[in-house]
Amino acid sequence: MKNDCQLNPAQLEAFGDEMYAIHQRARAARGAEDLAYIRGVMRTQLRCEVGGRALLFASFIPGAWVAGTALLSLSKILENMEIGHNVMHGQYEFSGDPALSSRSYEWDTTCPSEQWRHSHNYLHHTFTNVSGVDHDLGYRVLRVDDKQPWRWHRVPQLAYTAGLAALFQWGIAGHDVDMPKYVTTPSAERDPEDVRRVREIKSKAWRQVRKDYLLFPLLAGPNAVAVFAGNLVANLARNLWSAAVIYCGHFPEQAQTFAPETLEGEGRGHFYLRQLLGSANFEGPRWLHVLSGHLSHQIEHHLFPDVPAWRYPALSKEVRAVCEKYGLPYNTGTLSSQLFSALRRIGRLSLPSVSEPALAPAL
Amino acid sequence: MDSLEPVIADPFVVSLRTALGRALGWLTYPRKPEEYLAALAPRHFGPIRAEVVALEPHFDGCATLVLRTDRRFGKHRAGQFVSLTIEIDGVRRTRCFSISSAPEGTRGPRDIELTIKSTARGAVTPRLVDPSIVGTTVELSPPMGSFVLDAELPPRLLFITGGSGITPVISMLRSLDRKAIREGAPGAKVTLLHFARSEREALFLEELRQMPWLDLHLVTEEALGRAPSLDEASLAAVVADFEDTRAYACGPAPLLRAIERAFASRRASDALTIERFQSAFDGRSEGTGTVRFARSNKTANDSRTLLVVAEEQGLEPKSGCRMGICGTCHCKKLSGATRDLRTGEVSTEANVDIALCSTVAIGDVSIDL
Repeated sequence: MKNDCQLNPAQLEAFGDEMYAIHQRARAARGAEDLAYIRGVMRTQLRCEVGGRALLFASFIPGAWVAGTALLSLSKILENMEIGHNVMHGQYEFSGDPALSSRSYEWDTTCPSEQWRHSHNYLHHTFTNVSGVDHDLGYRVLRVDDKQPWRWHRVPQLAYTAGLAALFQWGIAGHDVDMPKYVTTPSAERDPEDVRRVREIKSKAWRQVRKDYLLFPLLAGPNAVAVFAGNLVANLARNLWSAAVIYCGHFPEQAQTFAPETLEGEGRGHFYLRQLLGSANFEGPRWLHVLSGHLSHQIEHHLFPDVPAWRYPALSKEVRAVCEKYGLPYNTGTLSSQLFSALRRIGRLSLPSVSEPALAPAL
Repeated sequence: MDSLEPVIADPFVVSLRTALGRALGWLTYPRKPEEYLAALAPRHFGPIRAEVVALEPHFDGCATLVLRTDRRFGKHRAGQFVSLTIEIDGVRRTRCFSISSAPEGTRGPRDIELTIKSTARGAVTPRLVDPSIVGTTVELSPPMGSFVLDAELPPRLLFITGGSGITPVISMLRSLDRKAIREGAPGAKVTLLHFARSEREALFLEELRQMPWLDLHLVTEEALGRAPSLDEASLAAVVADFEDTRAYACGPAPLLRAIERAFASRRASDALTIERFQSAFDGRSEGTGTVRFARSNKTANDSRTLLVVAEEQGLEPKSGCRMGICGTCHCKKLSGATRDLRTGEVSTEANVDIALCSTVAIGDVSIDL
C-alpha cells in the first residue's frame, strides 16, 4: 500500500477512524428531514417538467418558448443530479419508501440505471481514481492521467472534451461498455454481456428519443418544431451542466490518481484518504449546490456516498477540520477556477508527459 | 382474500384504458403516469390515505384510533383488517390491524376505528397509541381478509377471543347489535367467550354488557389466579354442543392451538374460522434463525452476512464493494428480522431492500433470491 501523504500508519488509522466516526454519525442522523427535503425537490422537479412542457406547447405566446425550455432544462438537471444520482446511491433507502429505492429508480437519461449503478456506484466509487479500474478517469476517451499512455490521437482532446460535454448523456449511456473496443470488435467476437448491455442501452435510448423528439412534438401539432427544439436545448443544457460538474469533481490539477497496486491490502484509513485526495469541490450559493446534486461537495460525496447529499455542506466543516488536523489538502475553489483547472490538465495531457512512466499499464 | 365486489368491465373499455395508459406511459417515461397523477392530485391517485382524527385510550398502552379515510377506501366487511403504513422518524413502517368499528358505524361515513394494544418494545404500536398521533396522515390498504360473517347468518354463532383478538370480533358484534336494534333481534344465537388478563384490560366490556342478546363469558387471569387454559371439556362447559355452532376465533397462538384441538376432537374443524396476528420480531431473542432464499428454495442457519450465506448456498447474488458502499448487492427482504451492521439498526419490516453484504439475520428471514 502506498501512502500518498506521508501519514505514518498510526496517523492513517486515526484519520480513518475519525472519518468513519463522521460517517456513522451522518448515517445515524438520517430521518424525516431527509425525506421532506428530497420529496420537496421531487415536487419542484415535477412541476418544472409539467410547466415547462406546457409552456413549450404554448410557445406561440411571446417568451413562452424561452421560459418553457428553461423550466424543462431545470427539471432535467434536478432529476438527473439531485434526485436520480442521489437516489440511485441509496441515500434515501433508509426510509423503505419504494419510490426512493436505489434498485428500482430509473432516471431521465439515455443511460440504463442498472448499468449506471455498476459503472458508477461500484467501479467508480470503490476504485476511485485508480488507473485502469475507474473508467471515470477520462471515460476511455480522454487522457487525464500521466499513467495513461500518450498517443497521437490525444492531441485534439480538448475538442473531444467539448464534444463529450455536448453529448454527455450519450457518453454516460455507453459508459459501462468499453465502447471503443466494442465498435472495433467484429460482432461475432463480442462479449455476450456487452451485447446484452448495448441492447439495453438502445432500448432505453429509443424510449427517451421517442418521448422528447417524436411524441411531444407530434402532440404539439403546428408547434412541433418549437417543442422539438425546446426539448433538444433542454437536453443539451443538462448535458453541458452535468459534464461541467463532473469534470470539476476529479479532473482539476490537484486531484490525484492512483496505481492499481494502491488497492492491495488497502485499509479503511487509506480508502477514505484516496477518496479525499482524488476528489475536488467547488464553492457557490446554495442553488448552485442543489443544481449540481451537491456534487459541488464531491469530496464529501466520495467519503459518504450513502448519506443524503444535501447534508454535505454541513459535513464539509467536520471533514475540513480533520484534514487540517492531519495536514491533508482539501481541494476546493470556485466553479470557474476548478473547471479551468480541469481543462488545463486535459490540455496539458493532450501532449506527451514530461516524465512518461516507462511501464504504464495498458489501458 | 379481497372482499371487494368483482367489477365486471366491458372488454372494450378495458382495452381502451390499457392502450391509453400505455400511450401515457410513453410520454411520462421513465416514470409511470400514476406518479404524476399522485403528485398533482393526491386525493384521487396514489396510496389510500387516512388522517387520525381522534384517539380514545382504554388502559395503559391500549387505545382506539379513529381514522378518516379518503374516498377510495370503500366499505369494509365486519371482521376485516387493513395494513397501515406510517413514517416514523423518516422510516416507513407497515403493520396490520383489525377494524374494530362496524361497517354501519356511528361516526362519520368515512371513519373507521382501529383498536391497538402496543407491544412494549415495538417500533410502531407505542407511537400509534400516543396522543400525539392525532393529526397524522397514514397510508392504508383496502380492507382485506376473509375473517367475516357468512352471507347467510347461521342459527348459532360462537366467538372465542383472547386479549386484543377481540378487535375483529367486536366489529361483527357491533354489526349484529345494529341489526338487533333495527329488527329486534340479531338473527342468531350468539355466544362470546373472551379471555383477558383482568376486567380492566377486557376491551369493550361495558359495551358488550349493553348487548342484551349476547351470551357473554369473560375469563380473566386475575379472577382465576392463574393463566386460563382451554380444552374440549372447558369449551363444552360454555357451549355443550359447540361443534354445531359456526365459530370464529382470534387471539394469542397458544389459545388458537387449543381451540383447534378442541374442534378437531369433535371432527368439527370446518365449523371454525381463525384469524391469526403475525407477531413481528420482539427484539428480545437475538439468536440467528433460518435464512430462506425464497426463489431458489434454499435454507441455511448461519450468522454471517447474508451475502456470504447466499454464496455458501451456491447462489450468485450480484455484489460489488462488499463493504456497504456501492449498493450492488441490494436485494428485497420478504420477511423477518435483520440487523444492518453499518448502523446496528434492526429491521422487521416486510418487503424492504437490504444490503446483503452488511446485513445479518437475527431471526427467521426470507430473502427474494
